Amino acid sequence: MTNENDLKRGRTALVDGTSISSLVDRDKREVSTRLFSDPEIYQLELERIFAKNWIIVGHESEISEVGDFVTRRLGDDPVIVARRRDGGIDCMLNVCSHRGALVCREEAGNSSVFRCIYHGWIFNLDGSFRGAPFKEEMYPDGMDASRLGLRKARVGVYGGIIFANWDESAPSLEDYLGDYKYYLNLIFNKVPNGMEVLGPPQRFVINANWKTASEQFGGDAYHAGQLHRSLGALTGGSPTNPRDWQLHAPKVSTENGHNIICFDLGDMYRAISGGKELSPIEKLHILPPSGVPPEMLPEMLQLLGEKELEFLATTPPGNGGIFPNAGVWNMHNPMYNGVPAPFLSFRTYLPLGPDKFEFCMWVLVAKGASEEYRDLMRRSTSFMQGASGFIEGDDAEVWPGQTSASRGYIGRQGTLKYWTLTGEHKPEGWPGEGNVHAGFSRDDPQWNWWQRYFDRLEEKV
Amino acid sequence: MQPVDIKSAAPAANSQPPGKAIPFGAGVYNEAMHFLIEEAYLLDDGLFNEWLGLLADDVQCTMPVRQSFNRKKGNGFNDGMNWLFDDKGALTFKAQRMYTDSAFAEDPPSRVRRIVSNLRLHETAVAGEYLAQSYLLLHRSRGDAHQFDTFSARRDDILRKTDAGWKLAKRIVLVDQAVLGLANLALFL
Repeated sequence: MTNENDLKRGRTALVDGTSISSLVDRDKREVSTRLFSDPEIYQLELERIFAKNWIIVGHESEISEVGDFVTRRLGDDPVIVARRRDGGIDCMLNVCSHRGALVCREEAGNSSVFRCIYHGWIFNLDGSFRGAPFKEEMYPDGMDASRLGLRKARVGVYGGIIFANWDESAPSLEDYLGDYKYYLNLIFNKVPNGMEVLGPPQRFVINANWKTASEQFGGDAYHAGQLHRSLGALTGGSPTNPRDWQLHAPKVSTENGHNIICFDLGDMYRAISGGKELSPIEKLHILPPSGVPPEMLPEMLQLLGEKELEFLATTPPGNGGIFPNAGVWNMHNPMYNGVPAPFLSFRTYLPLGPDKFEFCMWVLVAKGASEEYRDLMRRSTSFMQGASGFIEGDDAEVWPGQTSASRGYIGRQGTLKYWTLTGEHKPEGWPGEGNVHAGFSRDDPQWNWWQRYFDRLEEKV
Repeated sequence: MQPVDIKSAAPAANSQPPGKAIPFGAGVYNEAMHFLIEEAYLLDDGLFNEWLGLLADDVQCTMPVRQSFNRKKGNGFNDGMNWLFDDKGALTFKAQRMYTDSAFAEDPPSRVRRIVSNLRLHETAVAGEYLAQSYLLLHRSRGDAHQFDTFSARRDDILRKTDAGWKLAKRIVLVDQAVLGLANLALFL
């Protein structure tokens, strides 16, 4: 039997003769709109992006006990993510090796085995084949159990976030995240016991290509002052003042297409203190970083070094994308009463075809946070983010339009423009790695995202 | 007045309410049903300020996420994570946002039809407060899409009869979908 991947490997053109490399103009920095709806490109993405990169499938606090599992998607494939007996985590194709039925049909639970409802084949927590009904009568010549386990992906955990990768030859998760780890640490590893999810993720479906949301989280600060103008009603923000929209905040892009915007908290603290200069520790006491309740602040102050604390008090990593289809959002925004409230989520944009994706959002707090603090995070995060968040509701209005507009014969001949770059400017004393783009916020991180995307799509890496 | 405990109903979503049942057709039943119908008209007509007038000052509105579990594990609602969790300030802000020129998620507005039915009314431990359980079927027509977005849920409300009329004091939206088919919830449920 021919492996489907072997047929496709090395393909450099679409069936109509268009070369994949012509979908991007790396000199002009333009990208073809055709990418937002073409079914053939979607299939290439499943092969070259989603089966070859580290993709987020959950958080370890969702499966803290042995036997805990969740069912998720990795690319377009259903998977089970489960906690093994030795405490490790497995991610395996949720498809029975017998006749291809879904093995596990619940979203989450705890089990010692997975039993397919169709013929009753049983698999261990680690995906290995355990047995089948009427084994002696059905298979008198025996069964080669080594060929019957559920197909497994590699698993890596960073900052509590579970990543999986189908590619055995891909670099490790640590290498994949590279310089980005510094920023993830200050979001997810800032307290000794780490973070945990408030519960299962919000999941909702948007009729748009997964890249519309993913490339926006690749560093598009520019849209906020326009699309999220109604936020100005809360903050008193003016659509014409770039500082009100953090367009002066330094952005960081790292290899492999990750990025983070480091929000400048200066104006916020000055407003709170009435202009008085505050020390980093004073600032952190006034507004502990998102996810850290005030009573747990001492643990954070003890764990982190002076440089990191100062960084968190001035330009903390706030909003960014993890290539290819995930984002983190970690910041304070005023609630309706003007009081800054913490938000902390990570999300994935799961491909469900060229013109549909699932928005999957987890909300986190420090492990052991009080119920009162959890309620604050529940209120603030759902007020701003996710399906009912008034910010992301407006984003969800744009993405379907980009997608449907790219289907037309003329529309798909257009380009997305990433003409304008800030360049690399690392402020003195900047403690983190990566390419730092201090100055007016331009297209650098998003262009970096697209370059990595095309490196993958053209199989350059 | 007792503060509203927003989380008390969700875990009990399938159980029988505690108070005395009020029969279909009773005066108070008709008043409660009338309130829910009027509320649906106001929202469908985009009369958000008028709708705010139906909310008690201590109103709390939440919607827990739901997962797909085997029957023996219950109804799948999760109190840890929510779709929304709004008090009057949050609801007022969201309503007032609708009158700005930048509430893009709902401007141009969707055409929305809220069908409210199956009201089950019970007394509660608090005099003048009633547990009103109803079904909501919401059809949303957006832009030039010819398909409707559909949302269905049971709503467990606490309705309060006051001198200033009936008020919504608490709402728990018990959604039927584990994965929502709506791109956003930029509307009131």
